[in-house]
Amino acid sequence: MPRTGLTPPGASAPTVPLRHKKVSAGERISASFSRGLDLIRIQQSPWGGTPLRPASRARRQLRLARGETIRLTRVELAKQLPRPRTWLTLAVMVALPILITIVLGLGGVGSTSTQSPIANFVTVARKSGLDMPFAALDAMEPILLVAAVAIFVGEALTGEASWGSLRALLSRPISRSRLLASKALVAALLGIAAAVAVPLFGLASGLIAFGWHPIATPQAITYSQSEALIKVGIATLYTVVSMAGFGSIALFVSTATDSTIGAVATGVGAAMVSQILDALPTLGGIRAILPTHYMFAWGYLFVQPAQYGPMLRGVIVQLGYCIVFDAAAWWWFTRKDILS
Amino acid sequence: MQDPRLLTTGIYPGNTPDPATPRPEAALSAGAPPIRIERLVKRYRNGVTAVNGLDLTVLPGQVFGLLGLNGAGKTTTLRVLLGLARPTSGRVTIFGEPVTPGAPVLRNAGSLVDAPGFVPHLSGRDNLRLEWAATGGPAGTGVVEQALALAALGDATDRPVRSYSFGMRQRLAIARAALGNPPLLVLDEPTTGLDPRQVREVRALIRSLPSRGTTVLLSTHLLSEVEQICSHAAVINEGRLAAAGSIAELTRANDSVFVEVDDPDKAMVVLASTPGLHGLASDTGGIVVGLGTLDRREIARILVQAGVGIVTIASRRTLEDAFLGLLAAEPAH
Repeated sequence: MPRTGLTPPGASAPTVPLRHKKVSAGERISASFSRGLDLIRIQQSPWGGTPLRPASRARRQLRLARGETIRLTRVELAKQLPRPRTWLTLAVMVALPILITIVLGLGGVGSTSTQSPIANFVTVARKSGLDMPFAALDAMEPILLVAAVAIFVGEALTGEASWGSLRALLSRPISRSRLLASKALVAALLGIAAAVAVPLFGLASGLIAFGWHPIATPQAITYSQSEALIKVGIATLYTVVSMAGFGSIALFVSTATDSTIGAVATGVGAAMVSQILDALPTLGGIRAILPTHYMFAWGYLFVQPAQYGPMLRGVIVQLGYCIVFDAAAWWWFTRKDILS
Repeated sequence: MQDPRLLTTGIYPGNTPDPATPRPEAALSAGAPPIRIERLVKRYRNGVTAVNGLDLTVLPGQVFGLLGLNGAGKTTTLRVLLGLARPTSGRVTIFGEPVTPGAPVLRNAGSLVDAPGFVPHLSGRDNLRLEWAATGGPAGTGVVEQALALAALGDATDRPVRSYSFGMRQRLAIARAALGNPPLLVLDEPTTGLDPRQVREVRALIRSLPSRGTTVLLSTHLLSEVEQICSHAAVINEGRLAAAGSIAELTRANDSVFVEVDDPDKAMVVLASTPGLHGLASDTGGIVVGLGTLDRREIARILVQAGVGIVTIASRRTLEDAFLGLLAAEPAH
């Protein structure tokens, strides 16, 4: 007797009717749906299909724990890398330094307001291509770079929540701590890519436009090309670190809200508020713990002699923000109810 | 005509108990129940108590319907059951293991809760592949392909999910729940968005699950769906258990009949004066008559002789009648 309902996977029986008559798309889907149901009926669980046994439980848990963060990070990368948002944000980080170079090359610097007396490289950018990384950082770091980092970090969780896929993921045997870590790690990698892209493409476009010459600072101090390259590297590294605090703030907000805009806006808003407060001398020493206070501390590389103290203090402040907000994000995310 | 696939699996439409379904005693002795909820209370931060002292046990092989009005606490119960929400108090176990967020025992539960959500820029195949990979599922077992066969997305399998209709997403969500063939499925409104043919097939699938050792907890507003595919059900009202049992018990199929008449008041008077009945109760549009020594035919004869016109006389109430009757009888808390 034919077992029409229990055809094994790969068997051709359910497809036979489709070869002998013209069927509509709806019928094809339904037939395929039925075939799928049949497959599900007979499939055996790759887990063994039985409730956990005490003896195997410990081994299984150990196996699951080992490498789970790496596995989740790979999955997160596979989700984030194909996103148009990822490439669009990075494209802006690549395009703007090039655009700044083009504008400076075509039109000159004109009169610029000096936001940072130490590091306004826009005024001297045309003298050497090696000035352009600093000019690009000077122009983009306070808002656009912070926004890019906030987008990458802030949307890592809220994006999944708004899609509804976070709920499905967390109803699986997946550690929330490791999931958060994997998302933070991937967002950090993308944030680093953005922070590196700004000086890198500033450098590339600057060299093409203005050539390989010793650089001159706004204070008319000249450095050789090799010295300038080292300072580009240090400034880039420091810029990456100075973005970490904003990333942590955005991460915390993304665990506390399902609104992507809210998480991103909080990261950018924190930078803006910090810069406004930093401009108020009456705040005194409190300004030193604002996340943007040491943002341009890489400019002290260009005083004589170079000073590393401000950058070190900047690193400590960023570390403090990371510890506080990452811990808060972890505490909240591992305890919150997932409602969306 | 009966679906031949149903015949081959030994499952028949209607409420006929599946002989393969273990008796409760046997199931308990065989091991911990797939779901046990004890004195569950869930109070949200805004002060709303969604679940208030719920006790529920789902035994192996049951297709268990979870019924309740909007806001009764069904979805919250499912969230706690799947580790998405933490209980305020009480205990929830799956196969005897306490459920906490990300607990390993959740490997034994596939779920579809709320709207089907996926990563929109990835294809259906990639969504399932990544979810399977995230849980550490072994690669190369064909699990994802088998699940995709269930979703029956055709050429759309490799298209971004953002281009899918709601029905396609729902089918993909059912497939995701079935990833790895877990012994427990928790399904919230699984037939939403499906066309009638697919609704029928999904119901047939759910009915067939106990025969391969899968237990199902089904939350739905469709009482007819519960009546068709569930072996047991529970009614939740204001976060509490209002009633639970087999569908036959809930509808009192064996000890009562539901009579719809043209003159309910007169019928009540006639039946109240008739000896041999266990009780009378007005119900939605009719009367529920507790059978004593009389059978349905004799009740019909007595009413007709008294000049009462009978519109319907059924061996039991529908689940809808029972459900609304239970809620009406529930004291306000």
